Amino acid sequence: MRTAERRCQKIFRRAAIARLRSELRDGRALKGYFEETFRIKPKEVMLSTIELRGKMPKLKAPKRDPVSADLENAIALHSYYSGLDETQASDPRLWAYLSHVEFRKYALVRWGLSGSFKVLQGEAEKIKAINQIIDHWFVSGNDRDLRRHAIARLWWAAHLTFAPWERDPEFFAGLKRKDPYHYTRVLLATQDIYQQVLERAMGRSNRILISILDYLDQNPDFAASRERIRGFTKELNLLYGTKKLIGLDRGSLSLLIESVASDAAGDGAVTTQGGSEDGRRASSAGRNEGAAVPAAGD
Amino acid sequence: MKVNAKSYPHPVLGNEDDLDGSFSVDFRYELGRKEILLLPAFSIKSPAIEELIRKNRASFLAEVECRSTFFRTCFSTRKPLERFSIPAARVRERVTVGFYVCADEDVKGYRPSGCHPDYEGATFDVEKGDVLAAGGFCSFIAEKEFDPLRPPVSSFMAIREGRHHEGLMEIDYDEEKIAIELSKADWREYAGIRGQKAAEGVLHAAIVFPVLVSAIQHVQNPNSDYEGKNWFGRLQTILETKGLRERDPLEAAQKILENPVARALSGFSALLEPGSEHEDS
Repeated sequence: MRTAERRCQKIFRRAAIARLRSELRDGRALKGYFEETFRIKPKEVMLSTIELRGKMPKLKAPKRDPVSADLENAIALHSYYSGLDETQASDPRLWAYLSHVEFRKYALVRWGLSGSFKVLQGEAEKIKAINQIIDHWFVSGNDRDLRRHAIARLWWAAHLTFAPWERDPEFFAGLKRKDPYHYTRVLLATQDIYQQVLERAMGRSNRILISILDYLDQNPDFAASRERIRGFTKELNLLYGTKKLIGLDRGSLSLLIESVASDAAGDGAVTTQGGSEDGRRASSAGRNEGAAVPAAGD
Repeated sequence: MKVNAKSYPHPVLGNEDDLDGSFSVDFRYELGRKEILLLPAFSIKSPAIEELIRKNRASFLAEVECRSTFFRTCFSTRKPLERFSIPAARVRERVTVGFYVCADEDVKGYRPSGCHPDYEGATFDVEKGDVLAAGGFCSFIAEKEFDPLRPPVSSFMAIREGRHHEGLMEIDYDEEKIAIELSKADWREYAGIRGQKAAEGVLHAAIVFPVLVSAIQHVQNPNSDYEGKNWFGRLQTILETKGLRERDPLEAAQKILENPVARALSGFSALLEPGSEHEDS
């Protein structure tokens, strides 16, 4: 009987990433980021412990509207790399390899440089191009990079929203759906939702993230407004500085989100911060005058 | 522990001098292969807040965050000694833990004694979830081989061959580790003596020490561009663990490198002693 061959994901070695970054930063490698072919030295690659099964997905990048394929790509990628844990999925060696090698064509169309190398004029344009590649083709070690990396962003968008009722059954029992990617669809419905929700520090809390997405799912008109989403997430983040939303039960958190959204929509004067009239006067007249509330964790 | 002053709509213990009393946390952690144990010991001195905790109207809260893996969760308790665990696979690199006391329900007419005079006569309607006390935050590195008490400098800094044949050493702070690039000529010399015990102090004093001083300045800068980098988090943890966070960078760097000047001088002495050229060979 023939046993299936065990296949593992290749990744870059750290030295390879250091070389690639260094050559990009000084401009030597910039031209290569306009090309579909990419040469790698075998000694710069190693096998990881990430086991692969089935056929690697082909990520779609329609040239006219590459954003439109984000959801489909996220689901395909997450399904293929479903065994990754968070530690593996934040490893810079994996994502740099995937963007440079496995999904290079996709990365070039979706997050590549426009035009050709020849038309890049002046130092400022080159530096801008280099920074764009660093932002979308490499990961340093923080979730800001994972949000922006060409491939990592897709996997994480699906991972953070995949069947929350399985991950946290006590909290999300009432949200169970047939489609495990239900909330991935909400997150990737528009670029604004993805950016505004995940760019905020509170988005690291799965309870807050899914509760926000659930509100947006229930209120499609609200979710369609870029300005409302921006105002809403900004206000919620400010509130997080003084109130630990993360410790609230599902009902209280949902009510609070509704209140803040209602304020952001301008259709209700809902108070979101505690304090009697006296208390507010004491705050504004005294020690807190003019002070901005720092965003939690930002 | 470090506490960031904030503007709260009510007096918060631990937030500057809002309220008399104290809230401190003695925090320990244990790194395991599968889970990380968090072992906070809460100590609070504030009659109003202690009473709220006693009456199940407020709790201690530990908020755990890892910026490398989109991880943020919290644990609540009313016990002064507690034990929480997080799966080790959910975090990597720096993990930050913040400590608070939060209201578990709305508290109308909150009026703790010992408020700053600015709040004199005022009462507050505190809402469920509001922070009543801030105990600051600390961080650790979620990596088994990294011990902040005996940190190898190589955990956040690397010396490598640069592109230029000759010239000054260059520093790159944009990578996971701080990269010190030597010219090709200097690299050859360096490669010839690295690993020799007598040369270690000299290399630390001449190459690592000035870069470390500069790196500490970046870490102490509240608006640093490098906050997300791995080296930044590791160095920050080392500074916190050794109680050097607020110290002068020159002093802190010397302490981390265990007096590199003295080690360099004794290295020179050893190298200049007759017959010392065979040492460590």
